[in-house]
Amino acid sequence: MNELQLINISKHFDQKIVLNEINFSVRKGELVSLLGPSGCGKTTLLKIIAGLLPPDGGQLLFDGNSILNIPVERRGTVMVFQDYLLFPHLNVWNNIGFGLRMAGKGREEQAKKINEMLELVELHGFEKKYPRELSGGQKQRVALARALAIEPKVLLLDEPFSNLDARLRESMRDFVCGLQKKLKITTILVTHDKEEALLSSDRIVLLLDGKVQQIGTPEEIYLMPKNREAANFLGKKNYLKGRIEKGIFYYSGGELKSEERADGTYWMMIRPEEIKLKKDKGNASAIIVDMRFAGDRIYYKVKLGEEMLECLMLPDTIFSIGEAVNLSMDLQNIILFPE
Amino acid sequence: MRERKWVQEILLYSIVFLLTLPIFILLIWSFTKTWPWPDLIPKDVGLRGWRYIIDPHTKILKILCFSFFLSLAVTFVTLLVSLPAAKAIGQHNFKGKKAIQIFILSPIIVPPLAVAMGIHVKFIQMGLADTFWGILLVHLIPCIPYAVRILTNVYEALGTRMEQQARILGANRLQTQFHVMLPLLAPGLVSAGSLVFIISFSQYFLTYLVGGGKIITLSMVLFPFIESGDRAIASALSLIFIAITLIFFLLINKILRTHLNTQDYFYL
Ligand SMILES: Nc1ncnc2c1ncn2[C@@H]1O[C@H](COP(=O)(O)OP(=O)(O)O)[C@@H](O)[C@H]1O
Ligand SMILES: [Mg+2]
Repeated sequence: MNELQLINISKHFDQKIVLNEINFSVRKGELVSLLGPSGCGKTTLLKIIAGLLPPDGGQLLFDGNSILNIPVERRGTVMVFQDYLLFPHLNVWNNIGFGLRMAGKGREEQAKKINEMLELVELHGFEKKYPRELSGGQKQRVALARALAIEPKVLLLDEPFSNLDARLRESMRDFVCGLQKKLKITTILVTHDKEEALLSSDRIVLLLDGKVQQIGTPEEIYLMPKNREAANFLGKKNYLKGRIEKGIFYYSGGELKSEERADGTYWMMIRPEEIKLKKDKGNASAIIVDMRFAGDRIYYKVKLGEEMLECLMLPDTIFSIGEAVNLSMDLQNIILFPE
Repeated sequence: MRERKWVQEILLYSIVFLLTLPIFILLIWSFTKTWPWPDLIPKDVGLRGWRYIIDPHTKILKILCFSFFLSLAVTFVTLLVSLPAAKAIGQHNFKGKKAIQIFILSPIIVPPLAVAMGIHVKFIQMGLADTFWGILLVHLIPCIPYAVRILTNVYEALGTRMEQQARILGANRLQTQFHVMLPLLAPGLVSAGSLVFIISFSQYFLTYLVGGGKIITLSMVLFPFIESGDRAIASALSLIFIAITLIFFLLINKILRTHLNTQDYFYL
């Protein structure tokens, strides 16, 4: 069931349109990622949902009722900012209890909830510490506990892991996702990191240039991109130009059956991981132009006739630059985009 | 590295010495009867300067208390008026902001003498001349520009994000200002408050004009002694003067620190 619904939400700053008729919904207990490059309006959208910014137009529904006129402090959505924004004059205990205190909850009720939160984010023993004495990951957990303490209906996370170093980021991501599953709290996670979105979301909303490009599960978003922009944002892709004539796609490397499509010019998309390179057995068709070793994988640039292809291989066989190789493509998941 | 530190320390102590030297001289002067050149240390010591201050006939202690509370009230009212103004200027953009900024700062640029006469006439018409409230109001003129200036910078540095965070966590506007912004502003309030207190406390001309000689503050008592060259009394009064401002600074600092638990930084 859809809990939070965005209908035609738009926003502009000075002449610039930042959000252009955004539509999507979030189901109860679901974790939806808002994925898009920096500056595409992700933070702006979260602020609109939280009530910090009014949209120019559109509707925002919670359980079918508009919440646009409910002020920030009573909206029941809580946002955790990228840089945590812990109150520097309050210790961990009082930071976590801030929302409860503002709501006028009794001392005992506060203490019970704060202890519960400390347990949840595994920060017992840190009650007396001030934000300046905490590490990045600890600050993050305090910010999370502070947000969860007021039992929000919707949790909004704005690039929560981008200020952490690589290893901490992974463990915090698992921690937060685990917490989300455990509490079944409706969550929107904003990120510009495709891997983060793919790994942690139930569904992804892909936002490019202020427009929703695609909505779907991580598998759908990665395997069935709707257009080239969406495909490119999720990683480097190869495109081969060709034509469909009477249900057959003809391209420089051969031909393919493609019965549902109308005749015309198309781009065939092949992911780097769908290209396989093999040792030359005398009939080599391609030449390695560039090779970059990344440990658990190797990136190759391969020249095939006129075309330059990106290719991703496991480091089981290593080819050197200039070597002639046999090239085969896995054509099962081929996607054609009309020109 | 070591040598640099050495040089730094010498420099630091020299500066402290140079800054405190006048206070020592004042201290010596306040205990002398005469101190003719070229004596390095005065031969005639006495308590005349201090006795004058304690003497109930001179009413110095009473004036001192009055001055202290007057400046305290001025400081309080100045901060109260300056906070919203500084917030508006520091956090928001609006039409005519530059003009308003210049208008608020104008008492620093235009000498108060130029406007004080007109104000005095108006105050007489309104029955504010020669009254405590008249003096309080006229002291706001040189005080508000400095307070607004300092607090604007503080608001600019703080931005609006902490406020947004507080609102998101369920604090209403009033709670946000009181529980989040006030503690964050505290160091700025100490800086602005101390400066405003000193400006008000050492105000001579405006008090003299609007008070019509009926309302006496410490600086008005002090001036004639400096003028007539009675150094013993002038020095004793000056020391009291310095002590009061220092006490005020420590007091406001202590109060804001313990109640609001802010960190060690000042906006000076
Ligand atoms: N208050 C504002 N005034 C003017 N422009 C803004 C404001 N906030 C954001 N923008 C602009 O809107 C665009 C989107 O910003 P933002 O939502 O922060 O992007 P993201 O979070 O996706 O990186 C940016 O180009 C930014 O410069
Ligand atoms: Mg952002």
